Amino acid sequence: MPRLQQAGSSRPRTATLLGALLAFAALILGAPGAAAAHAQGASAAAPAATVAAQPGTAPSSVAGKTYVIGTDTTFAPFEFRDAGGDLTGIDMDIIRTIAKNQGFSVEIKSLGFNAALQALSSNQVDGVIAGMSITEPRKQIYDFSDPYFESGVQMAVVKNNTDIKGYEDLKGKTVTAKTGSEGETFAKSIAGKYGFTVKSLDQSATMYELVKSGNAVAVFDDYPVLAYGISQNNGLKSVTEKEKGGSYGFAVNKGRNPELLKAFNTGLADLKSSGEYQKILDKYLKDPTKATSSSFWDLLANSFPALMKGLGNTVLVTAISFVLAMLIGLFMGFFKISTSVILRGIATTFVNIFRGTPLLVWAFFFYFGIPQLTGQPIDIWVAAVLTLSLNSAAYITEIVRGSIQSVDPGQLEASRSLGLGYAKSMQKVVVPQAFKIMTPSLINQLIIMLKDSSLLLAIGFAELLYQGQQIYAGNFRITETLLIVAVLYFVVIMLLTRLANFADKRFNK
Amino acid sequence: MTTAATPASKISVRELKKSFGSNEVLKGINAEVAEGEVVCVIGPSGSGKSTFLRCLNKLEDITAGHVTVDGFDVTDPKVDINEVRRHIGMVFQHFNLFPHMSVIENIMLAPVESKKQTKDEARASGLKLLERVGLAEKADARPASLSGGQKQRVAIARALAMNPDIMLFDEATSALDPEMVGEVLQVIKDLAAEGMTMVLVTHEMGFAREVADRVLFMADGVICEQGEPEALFGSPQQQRTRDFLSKVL
Repeated sequence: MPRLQQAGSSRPRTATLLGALLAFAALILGAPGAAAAHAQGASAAAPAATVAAQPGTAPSSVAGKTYVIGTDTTFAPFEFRDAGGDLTGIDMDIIRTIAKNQGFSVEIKSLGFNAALQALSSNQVDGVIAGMSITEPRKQIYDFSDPYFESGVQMAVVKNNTDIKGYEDLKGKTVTAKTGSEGETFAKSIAGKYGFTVKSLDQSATMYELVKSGNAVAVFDDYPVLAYGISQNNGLKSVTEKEKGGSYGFAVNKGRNPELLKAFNTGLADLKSSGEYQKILDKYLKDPTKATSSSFWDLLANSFPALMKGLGNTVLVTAISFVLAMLIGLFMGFFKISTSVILRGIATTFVNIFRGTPLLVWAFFFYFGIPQLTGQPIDIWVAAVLTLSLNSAAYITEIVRGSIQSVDPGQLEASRSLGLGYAKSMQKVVVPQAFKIMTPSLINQLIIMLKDSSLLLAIGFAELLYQGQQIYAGNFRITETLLIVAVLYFVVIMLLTRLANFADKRFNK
Repeated sequence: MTTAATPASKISVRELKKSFGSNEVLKGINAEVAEGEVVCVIGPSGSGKSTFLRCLNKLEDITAGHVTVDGFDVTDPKVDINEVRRHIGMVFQHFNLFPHMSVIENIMLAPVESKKQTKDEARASGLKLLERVGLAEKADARPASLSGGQKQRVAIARALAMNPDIMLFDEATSALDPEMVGEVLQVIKDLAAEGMTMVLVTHEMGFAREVADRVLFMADGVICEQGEPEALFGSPQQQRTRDFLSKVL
């Protein structure tokens, strides 16, 4: 990619645009996480340029400013939700303490590791602190702070497993590691030598479940994360010494927010000399609050506020998107049966695009792709509503078209023969009957939409399933938490179905 | 009141042709209907009877030729077809009542929407029409609760609500149970007696003989033979007419 390299060194704007287009192309091609792959590809070609302060940013002061910081969802003890649903952990304590120390404010966005990096590349966030190892490839595209934690990879197996004692016992077996992590890099580096395969997953909690379920025999993860999970009764034990590993750093996008990076380094040095830094580490590593085995009802009671908040967001985003999807769907449905070739073409293209591509692709595109194209960050609600409503509108277009066409053509003829115009006839005679026909399909679509909204967790939208993930990332009680989440979805959908059927009977007698 | 065009001609059709794709259904129709005349169109199925009728109020696009109805040139694209249709009532084989409206709402729709009448006026005159077809007590019923004969009488009342000068009937009794045919034919007879100009596509030969001033026999997209009912039914001139009548009579 010599063109990228050239552009990157002399004309950063062109590089951004090219990168954005590449990311867009990758997203259109339907590979979630492709933006990260792109970032790596671009970095391989880009020169190790020195940090140049961008014009228009004052490198001097962070005081009084608010920075948006992206982080992982599930990397206890670095970031996780406490029982009350608040983000806590080593990373959180460090960034908040440094912010206080340096006089700036932080707004934490818990996005997931890959999503946080994509958000950083697209300037949706100002910085990322996510237990991220400082690596050469990453240094090509981000600027890192001084290391704030020395980590290392360790291997763990199920508590009662006595067969696996070291890497040499892994022959022919499958292990798991976290996508893009040091653990994955290390596991893959020795996989050939010891003859095992690596199955990469996105979250620590699901990796542990994979091991407990027997689908993988061991997990490679950063030692503090493993140690914390074990202390929370995640059912595993570590069986190897930690490998000498990388250091964690706080990152900003290349060339952006140098003052934030500087403030982080200054603050970190202050914390280290004051002893506060050690206190934070001890709090989570030396003596973590041992998980007392609480009952299912305690879990329910503790997680209920966070889940209700998620449920509220799920219902709200579905409601807004449904109204919008109905409007678009009605217009497009009429376009589809219009006599104008152009209008029919518009509607057909619309349906083909949004029905023919996965919802997730659009979620990534709207939230990460558009900001790279326009340079303007986009609100997560806007991205979420666009994703859901356009996808559903494509289906509703077909529902509307089908319903109108299934009204007896004699109805339109009778109305026209009375001297009513086409529009009037549609409005008074055909559409009221079409609505009656389409109501069951629309109720169905609404329910599909409510469930599909859970996919928005991929961009860090705080809906119900996302909140569930946040909870089990901290307490490792995946099955019970998912059960509660499933029951909540079920209850809401039952209520919604009842309500819709009642409205159907009431208005479509 | 025969085939010649007269100044009192309500409907004038010249060289009317209609094709669906490559299939030519009407192959050059010439016909005149005088004011107050009742014309019945008979013929085997597929002969183009219904298509001919539907061309008169342009429910079918006209491929070639000229159709003038009530002084309007239907084939002229500049003519407001909705205005023309307000002068022509049409009754369909399958009634085509609006199922989501009550009987009286079906009748009120056109007068109210075309701003011809206020809702109150439309309701009052709608009730009178229902009385005329003997269904005043069904005003607030839904079409689904009516028998076939009742439905068709409502459909006639609906068509009459715009005070049309001409009424078109497209096999108005074909979908009815035999015992209901009589009540609908009676309503049509009453209209004929009042002097309404009417064109009826029908399979009721006895009725055509009784009510029609003139009968058109159509076959293969042309008017094969026409004349006063006694003449056409009594001594048909064409072999095709004789064949057809021998099958249905």
